[in-house]
Amino acid sequence: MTKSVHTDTWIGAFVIVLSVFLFVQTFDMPELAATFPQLMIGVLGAFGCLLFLLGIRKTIKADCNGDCADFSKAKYSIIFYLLILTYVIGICYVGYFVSTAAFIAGSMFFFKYKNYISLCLTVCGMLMFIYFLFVRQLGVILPETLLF
Amino acid sequence: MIQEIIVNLCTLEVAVAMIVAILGGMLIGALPGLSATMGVALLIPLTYSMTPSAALIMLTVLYTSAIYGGSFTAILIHTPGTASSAATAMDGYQLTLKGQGLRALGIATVSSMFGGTVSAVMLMFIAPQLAKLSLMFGPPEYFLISLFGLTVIGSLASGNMLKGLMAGVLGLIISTCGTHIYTGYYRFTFNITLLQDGIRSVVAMIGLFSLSQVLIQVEDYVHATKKRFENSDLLLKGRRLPSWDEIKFLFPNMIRSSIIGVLVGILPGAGGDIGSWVSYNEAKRFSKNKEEFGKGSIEGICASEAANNAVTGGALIPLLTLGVPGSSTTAVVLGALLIHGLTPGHTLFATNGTIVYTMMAAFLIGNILMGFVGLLISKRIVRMCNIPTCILSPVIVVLATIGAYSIAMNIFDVCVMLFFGFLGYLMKKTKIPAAPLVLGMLLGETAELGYTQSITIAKGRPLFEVFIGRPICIILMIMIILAIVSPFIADYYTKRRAWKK
Repeated sequence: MTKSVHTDTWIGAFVIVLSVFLFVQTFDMPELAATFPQLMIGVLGAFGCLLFLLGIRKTIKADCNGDCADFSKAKYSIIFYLLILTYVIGICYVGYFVSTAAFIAGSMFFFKYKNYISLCLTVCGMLMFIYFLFVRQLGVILPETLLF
Repeated sequence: MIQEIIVNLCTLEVAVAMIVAILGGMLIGALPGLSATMGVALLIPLTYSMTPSAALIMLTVLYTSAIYGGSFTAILIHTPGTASSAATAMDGYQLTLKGQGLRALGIATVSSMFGGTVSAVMLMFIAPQLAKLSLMFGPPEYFLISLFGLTVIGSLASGNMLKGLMAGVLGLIISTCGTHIYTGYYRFTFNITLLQDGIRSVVAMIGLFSLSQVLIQVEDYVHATKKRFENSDLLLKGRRLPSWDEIKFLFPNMIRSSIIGVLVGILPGAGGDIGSWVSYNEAKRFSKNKEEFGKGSIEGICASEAANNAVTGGALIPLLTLGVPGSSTTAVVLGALLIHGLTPGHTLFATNGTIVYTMMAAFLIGNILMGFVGLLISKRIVRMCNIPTCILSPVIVVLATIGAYSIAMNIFDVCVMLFFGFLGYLMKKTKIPAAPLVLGMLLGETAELGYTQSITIAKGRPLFEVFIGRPICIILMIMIILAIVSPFIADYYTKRRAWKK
């Protein structure tokens, strides 16, 4: 029977690797610039080692105790995050307002929301709000794109 | 002079300035990415044609209203509008999930009003004395203040002490990314030019708090099109105005948090965010219901909001008396003072006393009015949290994106926000608290600067010798030791009492 490795073990291992990587980055720094980061990285590495050992202990005891990571419901979050990434990429190439309208509408379709009037009102309301507050009042210059 | 002050206050110009400042400030504060500093900077051109009194009143009242406005979205949708409201989001949102959003808003409103009023009173009556205190703080004191602020991490971690400390230290490391102030060396930039300015803590905060929360909410995909509370009357559960018993219960907390806020505000560079975290920690230390913190504690909301509004008056003290801004927002207000021909410092009160005291009196009135307006509109605002996830999630993402972008009009900040959003999501899933990471980022710069300057002052001597020779440092070191040790002592006595029973 195999035991699943406790999440803390993975986190501890990642933190140790991260600490080593960051510490190596400090070798090229002047002494004054490196002092504080090296101190903090050392402390982080120590915490990582402690967490790794605690994770191994929890794995041996098969002790979840409510702090095991549960990614079973992460599918939709990951998809939505990819939608957000697409939106931000779209801002750079298609334009802010087009991307925003497409993102809001696309998100609502993703959630299978079928009230099209509410969808249109939300899209129009958000675009007008952002235009009048951020662009006109606050003078925010939106990114230049290929299209607009 | 009192007659002149009353005459100055009772003008249409001042009334309009105050209304614009209160409503505009709340809106600016509520929107993530917009800050009080931005709001004040935007209003300065509008003040050119105004009298100095009205101009200063509008700017200072907007400052305090924006800090208060950050609590709306912090409580209702776990998206702090300003960095100062991050502590409020922890408990405020938990109360909203229990259908007590209106109650949380009411407590935040009353606490903000109280904190702002206390700081206004202290500004009016003991500003010069308090300003002398700020002159006694040097680099060693700033370093120890940062360390004391970091002891808050222990209480923020609640049950995951090791992970909380790890997140805090990671935040400190992230704060070192960018150009080193003394040597000009680019640290941890990985040849990315845009990282030379460092990582803005507000951008990281928007990602860690609001974007990660959106991703968590999306997990409940099946119910995304449904309202969170089918019976929307549940949203209006609880009193808008805290009951007399609640006010009596919270009163010591409000007083303590307000004093902490004023003292933190006096220190240049220490802003509302630090004040709210420190007073949150102290409220937890003094509370008899420590286990409720992080799960919807009204004491936590009260402490955070009272302190962050008290900082506003405190930050004006060194500005007016010494010409040294107590926060980034007051640095902008300094510009407004100079534009209107007022030179801050000890002569300001002698040469333009009427204008200054009019501003202080209006600041006091503005804090009280802000509370009444907040209570009046809270029932309308609280309905926001019953919007289904399918509408609220994309709206929050859009606001977070434009908010992160508008800070420096740089799409790179949006990318940073996305990174921290995903990191925040992973942290939530693996039970690593995000609040200590934010705190580490906020305090990192001050801690490193104080540490480096203290080493320079030491001139080869051990650092401890520098601290021992300064009375304020000794007091701070005792406070740090007590802050670290007290949870363990309290835990020991609790277990001992349980064993005896």
